[in-house]
Amino acid sequence: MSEPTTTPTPPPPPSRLGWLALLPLALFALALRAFLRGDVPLEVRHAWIPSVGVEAAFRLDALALVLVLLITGIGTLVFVYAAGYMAGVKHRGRLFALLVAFMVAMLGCVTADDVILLFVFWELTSVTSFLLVGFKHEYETSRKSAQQALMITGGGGLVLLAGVLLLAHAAGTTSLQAMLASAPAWAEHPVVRGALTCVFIGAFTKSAQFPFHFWLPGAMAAPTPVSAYLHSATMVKLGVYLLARLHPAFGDDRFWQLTLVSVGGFTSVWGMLLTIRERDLKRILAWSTVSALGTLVMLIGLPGEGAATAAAAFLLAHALYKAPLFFVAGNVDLATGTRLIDELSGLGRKMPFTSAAGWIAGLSMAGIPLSFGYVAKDVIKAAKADTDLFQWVAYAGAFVSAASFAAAGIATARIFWRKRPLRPEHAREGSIATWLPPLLVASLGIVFGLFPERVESLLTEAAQAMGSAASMEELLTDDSASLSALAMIIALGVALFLGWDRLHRVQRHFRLPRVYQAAAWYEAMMVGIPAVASRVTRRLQMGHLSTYTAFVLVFALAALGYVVAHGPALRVPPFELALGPTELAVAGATLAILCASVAVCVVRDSFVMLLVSGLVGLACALLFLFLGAPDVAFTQFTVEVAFVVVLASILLRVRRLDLVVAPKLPRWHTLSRALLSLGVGAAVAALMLVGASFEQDPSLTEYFSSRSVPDAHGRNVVNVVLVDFRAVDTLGEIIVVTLTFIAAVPLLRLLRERWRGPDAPLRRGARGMSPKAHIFDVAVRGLYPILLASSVVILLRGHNEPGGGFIAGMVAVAATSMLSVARGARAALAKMPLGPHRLAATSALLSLASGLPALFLGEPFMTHLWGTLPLGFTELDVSTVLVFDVGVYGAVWGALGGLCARAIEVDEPHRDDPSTVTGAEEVTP
Amino acid sequence: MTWMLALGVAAIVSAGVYLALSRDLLRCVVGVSLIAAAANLVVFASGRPGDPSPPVIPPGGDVLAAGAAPLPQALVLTAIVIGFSLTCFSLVVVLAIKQRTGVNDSHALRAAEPHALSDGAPPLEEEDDA
Repeated sequence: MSEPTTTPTPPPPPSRLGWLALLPLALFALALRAFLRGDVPLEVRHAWIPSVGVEAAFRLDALALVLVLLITGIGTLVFVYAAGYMAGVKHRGRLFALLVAFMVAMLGCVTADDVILLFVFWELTSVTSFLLVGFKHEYETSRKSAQQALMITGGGGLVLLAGVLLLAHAAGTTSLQAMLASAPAWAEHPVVRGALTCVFIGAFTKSAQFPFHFWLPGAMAAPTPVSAYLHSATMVKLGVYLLARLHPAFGDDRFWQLTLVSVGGFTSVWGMLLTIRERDLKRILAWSTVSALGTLVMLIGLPGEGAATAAAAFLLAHALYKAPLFFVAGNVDLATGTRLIDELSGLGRKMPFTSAAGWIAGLSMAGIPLSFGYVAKDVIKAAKADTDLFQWVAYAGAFVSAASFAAAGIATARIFWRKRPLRPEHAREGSIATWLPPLLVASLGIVFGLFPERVESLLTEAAQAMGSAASMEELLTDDSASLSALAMIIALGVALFLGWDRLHRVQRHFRLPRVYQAAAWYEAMMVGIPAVASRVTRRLQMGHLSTYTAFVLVFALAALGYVVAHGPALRVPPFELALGPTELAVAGATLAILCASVAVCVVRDSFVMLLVSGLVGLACALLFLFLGAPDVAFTQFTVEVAFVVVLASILLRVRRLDLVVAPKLPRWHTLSRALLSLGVGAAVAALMLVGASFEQDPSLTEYFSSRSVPDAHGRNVVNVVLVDFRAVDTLGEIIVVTLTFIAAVPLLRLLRERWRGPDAPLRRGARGMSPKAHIFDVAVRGLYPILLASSVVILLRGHNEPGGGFIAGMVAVAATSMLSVARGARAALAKMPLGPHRLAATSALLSLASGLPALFLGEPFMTHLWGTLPLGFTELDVSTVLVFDVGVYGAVWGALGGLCARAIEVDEPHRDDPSTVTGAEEVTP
Repeated sequence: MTWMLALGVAAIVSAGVYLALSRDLLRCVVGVSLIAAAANLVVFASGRPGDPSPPVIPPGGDVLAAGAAPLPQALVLTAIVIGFSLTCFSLVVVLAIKQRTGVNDSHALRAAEPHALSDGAPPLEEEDDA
């Protein structure tokens, strides 16, 4: 936690960045002038998010002014101090930039009159605080402390957002002033209790109230100017400020009073107990700051007229003595390289100015002339107003006052007392920039203590903004009871001061178990959240493709079920049993589909499964054939043929690999899988039936049926749709087919080359395509030209009879596949005109080009042109349609034929690898 | 007729989903191709099939008086060819995976979602087995 030690050298000159202090100084002067001239409250309003009534509204009233004067006034001195403290430190420019940013955020936050705006600035202070605490980010402790501060104050800010949104909902406005003005009207709204809880959490995290108190001492990893500025004088006061701001609306609420008094009171006592345990100067100050913040929160919650005034006065007083004490602690650290009180004594001789500042601030902290003295008295006084409930607050106040007296003694007398021996001996005073600011601020505290009327009007007005009417004068009346109380407190304080070391030795035996420490809870949370997250992730994202698929399907089924249950009533067409020839044929094909579907799920052998899946396709083809779709049926047939050929060749390869077979699954797994599948199948079929119950719009069918001959000169309407009416679609489709081939080729080449590698066992021949069956070879040799010729016929007649480019292409693909199996892929590929790549690409381009001539005639792309070519003996109809269809034919043949042949080639021995060709039979075991 | 086709579609979709839910990659591919076949049937059925005559205009006529609806047929026809090319491609990919990893179990393929380390943190770098 300690800062890097520095060996004392002559104090370096202050950094020139200290001139930045002029900025807060000017703002301070402006704010002061506004107050003295009676311009307060000041308002500035700009529309920001008009749709939800959020404004960029700023309002400077007395309460905000106290904060603004603190922020700019102490800010000025912090900049000066930082110039001295950070002299020669690397990256000090960043610190100053962040301090300026922080100051702006603070000013915005205390002057914001819109809760959304306030939240934005609130979080900005958390972010700048994070960056400032983590300024020495090379140190792990710095990073951890910064993260802790951000997690707690930033997280609390988010809760605050929820709170202010609820408040805005209840009040019907986001403007703070409007909210407070109309408070009685909405204070009974049911969300107010929850909203207040959220606001409390936001304020308690920011102001380090129990149980969020532990981040503040952690934040002492920041450079001392930052600690003095953010973590004692300004930022931590934001929570107090917010509560004070809302006090007029809720001050009489029992929930408000009880929460603030109990949390604030406990924090103030607990903070003091922790103060007594520390031996690090800065941490002593940090814990006592926690305690002071607790006192402030408690004061705001206390009923009675004086509490608000006391809170405003204490707010000021605390800033005026705690900031200089931090400066002093920083100076001691700079001068000696340590902050442990055991190693420091008698420093007053070598550091006169710092010591003077420390003494003055310490007097203030001890509560002798001004601040704490009368504040403690007021606490007692205010508590008297409601003795039955808040009596113990008086005892708490007395203890806290005494302990803070002792802490002040430790922070000043113990280390600066001139009579004691000087330790360490190399200590020396720093530059004027380091000792002047604490001296100035601390003196101001004394000045106000002697002449309280100087600040009276300001504090009274601030208290009025908090909904209190008591003036300071009433509170300053002395009586004997408070004097005796003061004497008692001082006696107790002296006792604590003298017994500090003894207390430490004793308390070492009484450590709170970690379970009861809030910091331990925080650490457990920081470990626990990622652990829970990773467990949930592992549960949901287990990396199992099949489970993901099942998730998607179950969700789709559930969504569908919801729509069916809550949507309009759905009908299905009536079930009718006709027994015409078509129906019987379709029934037969459906039966085949059923059988094949069951079989494909049941068979265990992959090879058989693939063949059976081919059967499903063939049965579908039969269906198409019986239902007046010969083109579709032919396409499906040829596809199935090619599919089985390719699969057979690929599977033979797969079988030869020694695969790790998926483990057998438990029975319930298979059962649930089957149930889900049946559910999806039934749902799709049901959707289909529902769709069939709607009246069909016949316009498209009629259009194609009637315009086919006159416009497109074709009698096969399916083909005309493909090549003419919807030619651009078809063009896209053949391009997809071509791209698939192009994507598959490198993979196939890789497969082939890998299998050649020495580590891949080649057991070629046993179940492979070789030795070749001679009868098959001879048959295919004759079949190939016949198939090709018929494919050309199918292509040419396609426009008027069943047929066309797709079917013709698939026939050619089947021919190439057969030839590849019989005579080798290389031979089959060589027989393709141009080779597969060029054939596919050129054909796709040809199809594309066939649509271009129309452009020159001013027609849309793909408007086909027709002409007649006289040949003397007959006339030949020529058209761009034919060119297009030839392109489709070539693209399908080239791409899919090439794909099939290349797939078959994977399994073939390399021609240039004699061992695999001749050694085929010998290798077989 | 619609009921008959719906029965066929239900059977094929069920079989396809069943296979697609398998851990065996090859079965997954076949399952998806079956689902594609069922989708083709659904599209085809949207043309209200029943007329066994193909949508070819007889010589002499200018208008298709009777016959199956041509548009769904055209859609299905191209879908079949594209489905085939994509199935072939998927098979090649499956083959490449099998060859590279020696595994046909989709649960064993974890390159994209590596197993978490014992402390639950994701592994920083997966060793490439290429």
